Amino acid sequence: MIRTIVVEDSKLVGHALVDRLNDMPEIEVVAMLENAANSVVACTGRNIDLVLMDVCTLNDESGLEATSRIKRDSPSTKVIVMTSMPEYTFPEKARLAGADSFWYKDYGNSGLSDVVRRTLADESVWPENMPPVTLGLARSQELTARELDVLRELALGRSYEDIGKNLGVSLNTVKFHIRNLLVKTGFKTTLQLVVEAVDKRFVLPKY
Amino acid sequence: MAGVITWCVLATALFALACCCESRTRGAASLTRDAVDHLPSGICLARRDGVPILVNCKMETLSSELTGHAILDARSFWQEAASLSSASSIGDKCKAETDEIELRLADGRVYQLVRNRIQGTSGLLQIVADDVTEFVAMRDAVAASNGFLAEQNARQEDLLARIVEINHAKELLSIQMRAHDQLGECLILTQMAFESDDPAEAIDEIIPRWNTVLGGLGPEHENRAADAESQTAELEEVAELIGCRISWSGNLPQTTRARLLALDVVREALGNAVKHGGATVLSVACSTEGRWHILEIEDNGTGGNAANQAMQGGTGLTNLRRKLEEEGAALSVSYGNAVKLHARIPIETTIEYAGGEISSREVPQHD
Repeated sequence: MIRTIVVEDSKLVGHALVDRLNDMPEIEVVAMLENAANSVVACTGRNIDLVLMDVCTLNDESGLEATSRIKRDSPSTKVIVMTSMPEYTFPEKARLAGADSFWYKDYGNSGLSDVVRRTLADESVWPENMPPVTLGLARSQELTARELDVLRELALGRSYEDIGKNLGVSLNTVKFHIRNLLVKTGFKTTLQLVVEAVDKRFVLPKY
Repeated sequence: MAGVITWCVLATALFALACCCESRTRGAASLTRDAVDHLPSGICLARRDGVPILVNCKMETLSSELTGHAILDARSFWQEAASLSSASSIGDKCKAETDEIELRLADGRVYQLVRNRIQGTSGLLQIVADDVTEFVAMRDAVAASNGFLAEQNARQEDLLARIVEINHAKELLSIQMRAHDQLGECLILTQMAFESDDPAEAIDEIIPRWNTVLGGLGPEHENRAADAESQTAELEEVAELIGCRISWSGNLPQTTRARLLALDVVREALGNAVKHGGATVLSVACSTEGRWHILEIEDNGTGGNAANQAMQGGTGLTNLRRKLEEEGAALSVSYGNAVKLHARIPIETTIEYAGGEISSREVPQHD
């Protein structure tokens, strides 16, 4: 049996996931946890084979951080990072944390059981596309990588000068990217832009 | 200032007149004239009917620039200056009736003219002119800055109002999601119970959960207590999963921030105790001491030196200590066969208010 932990701070979603997993005869769900930090301790015994890890969990504990610690302490444990947030950095952060697979709960063609089985067969499953997000007049795909970097820095409340220092570009370049962001999205102020980006979970600086 | 200048000028003039009358020496008059010309202000001293008695060179120059001629009549000069001031729209002080006017010259210099009637000296009239260009520039800059600040303040107020509105919406959404989540869970469990082999027994088990959920939709402080219980229960479940039991004595902190920190400490201790010491029991003693929550945690592990070194070499305790210190708390660890953790966390104070409870943390000074 594949001893499995589900980390999900929404009990409703958590139970739905457990139901789906219980339909797979090879899976045994040993715990459903709301707090990602607890899953790290749960894997201490090294008898957990699979963790389905939500990114944003109870008390703001990051599932990405927990994934990193689990894979460091117990590399053989498979971790599937899952989220319903369209935050554009999550897949890359999950990859860097050592996650084996990544699954959007409500987007994409891959079902949960498919992702679980392929991951257990040592396949790494990642979504082909990001969930589409519209920021004002622009679709997220229309924004350049640098513009996204600047948007994230803005969401962290940094000044233009600090953004320039952090990204290694001049103040004028920062202003250039911000102007482009505003032109593309149609917002009049950076505040409107950031509120929209955070409200749509496209940028979640906390994680 | 004007009064001082007035009396200086008057004394100087009288001295000059006296010198002229009594000694009639050309040298003394010249010295006096020179002294008056070197005053920082332009000076015009005139009789009541406007006939000038004494005009220094600065005032002569200003008069030439303004009117194109020397001061022949101090009263006419004042009228002309006042009319020019009106044209320069420098401010309100531009009426001939007032005793103070400001006027801007074509080259941008600004002069302030002050008129005084000197009492007790046969009604002498004095006009003093000062170059206040720098002062006016500073005043304009301050006014512009004040305008900018007022605009920024208005924008800030607007932003704050929007933030309050957004936070309110977020709070409502959170409440809706919580209600949706918990009621949904109960509905799923109820449905499963109906589909089970013994629905009656299953339903009996679910009723307390319905009661808890419906009760949890009540006042916020009750919800927090339920949350605390749920979080502690989850940690106990994890402990059981890895073959350890948590033995509690005393009460965990009731306020959210302190309780979360305490659970962080217990969680780290639990992981280390099992991982490095093979512990099966973790004893957690909670108490208060002055303005501190005290946590004493001890395990029954038998890790020995190798395990202790592994623990000291890891980052878990270091990160936990840093996190605690950022919150005004402190952690000390003593290593032996078993590991002992001693944590102290500042007690939070709570202020009751009509809408619920606000928590404000007191951070005591370290002894």
